[in-house]
Amino acid sequence: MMDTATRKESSDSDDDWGPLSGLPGNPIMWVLIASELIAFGALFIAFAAVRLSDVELFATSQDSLNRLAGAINTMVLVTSGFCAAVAVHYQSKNETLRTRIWLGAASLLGAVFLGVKWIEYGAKFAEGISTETNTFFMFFFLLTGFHALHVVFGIILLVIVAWKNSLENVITVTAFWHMVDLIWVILFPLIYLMR
Amino acid sequence: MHYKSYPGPRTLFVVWLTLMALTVATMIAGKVTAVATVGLAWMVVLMAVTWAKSILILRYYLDLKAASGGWNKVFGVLVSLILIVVLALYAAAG
Repeated sequence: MMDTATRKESSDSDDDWGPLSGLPGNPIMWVLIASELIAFGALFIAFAAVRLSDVELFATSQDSLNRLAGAINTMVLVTSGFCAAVAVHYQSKNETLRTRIWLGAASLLGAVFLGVKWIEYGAKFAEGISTETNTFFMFFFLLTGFHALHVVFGIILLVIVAWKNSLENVITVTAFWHMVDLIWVILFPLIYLMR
Repeated sequence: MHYKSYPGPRTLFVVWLTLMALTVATMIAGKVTAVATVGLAWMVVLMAVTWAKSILILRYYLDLKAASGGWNKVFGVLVSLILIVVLALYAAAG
């Protein structure tokens, strides 16, 4: 059963959004999530289409990637998503301390993801590999870099809602975080494994 | 909004365990530690596993299973379309 504060937030958010009111959290975030999915989806399709012109080059370049680092980062983000989802549960029970602990854990794992990515990029730069090396690495740095920027932004948002922890804030920001998770789950096999 | 239907820690833990198991399946299908091409059959497996992981994230982490107005299907179809087009392009490469 929802408490009074929750009912008030819920009814405020249900008022004006038409069909979008059926989505959890702030509907504007869902517009962003749909836009991001379409943008990344278009880039994934562009990557697969450009690969057709030189399959051998893409396979050779993919073989130089640290696939284990990509797999570890998948587990890290999936676990971070779990922490963020549990935080919503505790916020819905008005358990602020537990909410903050779980949001903190989600942020920390986000930072671990960035640390692994930093090591991965460092190794590539040390080998003299950059966006200008070939078409594959242009896509690699574009897609993973753009995604990493989303991770940075997501961590900042998670920290902010751990402080300003209304239920709608927590649901809305964790929705963004899960979108970042979802994009990586598709990006990892496409860029690292399918060769 | 659907606060009261949001998944509890137990459900989320089962979903997380499933996602981790599917990630291990991805690693096996994608031959993470081998210097070898994967082949079309394993690419199909990879995309199928990726689809399953995506649907779990949409339904439980993003709580779209509780959303009204068919949003669960809308986002599910969007992700499915992206994966199908990508796979078709990989299949076209032979």
